[in-house]
Amino acid sequence: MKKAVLFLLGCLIQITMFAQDQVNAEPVPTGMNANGKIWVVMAVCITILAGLLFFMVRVDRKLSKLEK
Amino acid sequence: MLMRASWWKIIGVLLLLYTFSWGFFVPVPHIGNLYETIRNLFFHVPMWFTQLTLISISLYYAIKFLRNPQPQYDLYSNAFAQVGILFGMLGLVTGAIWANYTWGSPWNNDPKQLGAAIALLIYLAYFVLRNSMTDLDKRSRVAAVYNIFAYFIYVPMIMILPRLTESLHPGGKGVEGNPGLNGADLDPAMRLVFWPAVIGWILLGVWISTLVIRYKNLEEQKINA
Repeated sequence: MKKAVLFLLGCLIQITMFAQDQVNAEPVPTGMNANGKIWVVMAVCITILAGLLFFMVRVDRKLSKLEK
Repeated sequence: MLMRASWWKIIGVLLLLYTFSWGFFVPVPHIGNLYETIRNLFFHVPMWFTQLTLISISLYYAIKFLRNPQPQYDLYSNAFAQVGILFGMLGLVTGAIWANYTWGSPWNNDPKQLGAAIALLIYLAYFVLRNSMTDLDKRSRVAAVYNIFAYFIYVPMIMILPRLTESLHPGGKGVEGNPGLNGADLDPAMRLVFWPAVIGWILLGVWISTLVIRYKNLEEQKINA
């Protein structure tokens, strides 16, 4: 009986240790990697928007110069 | 005149609004370490579709110019190439951002990355060549010939060579990338966003090109006046 209880206890300890290992193995993603890396998509969108706006502003400036 | 018509611009804007809204909500499959970045498919990939469309139109006008040398065709060819390269650069930069968080570094010497970079440099040489000539007639003709050359280097660089070697991109030999993104295998829900996104971005690219054409036309008129 005692042995069986000890065995079960041993099993439990194993389980807790296993659970801790899992936590250590996968750190919580932070920064750009947080929330399923959705911020990477945002960065890509902002890059495209910035690039297109930069180009449009240049065309707009040239056009304004022509109109003068 | 189609260039000044607004219906296709409205379609383009609506498709892009759809892309930027439903593109962020559509349920996506879980593939490798992509997580939510798989949604970049609606933004990064259409850059290349748009670029290919724009430089194809540029090629069309280059050939048209050689058959019938009208300065208008050369102007079209130049404007479409210009905006095409803009989209190519955006594709390269957004690809680097995506790669940084999924492949571990912004530049992986992936065959598609290298091919795209070389192809962009070849197209940049097109503008260097153009602007290095003062004789307008000669400039237009040489530029048109070089345009055809650049196009047929460009297509193997980004579409054929990367498929012949191992690539991180989907569709390479011995795919290490994400075969789930390959045309036919693409998740059906994502396909419903992807193709409208491609059309929307292409329409935006063409719209910007027409603005460049219109301003270049004004410039010509001013010089001739």
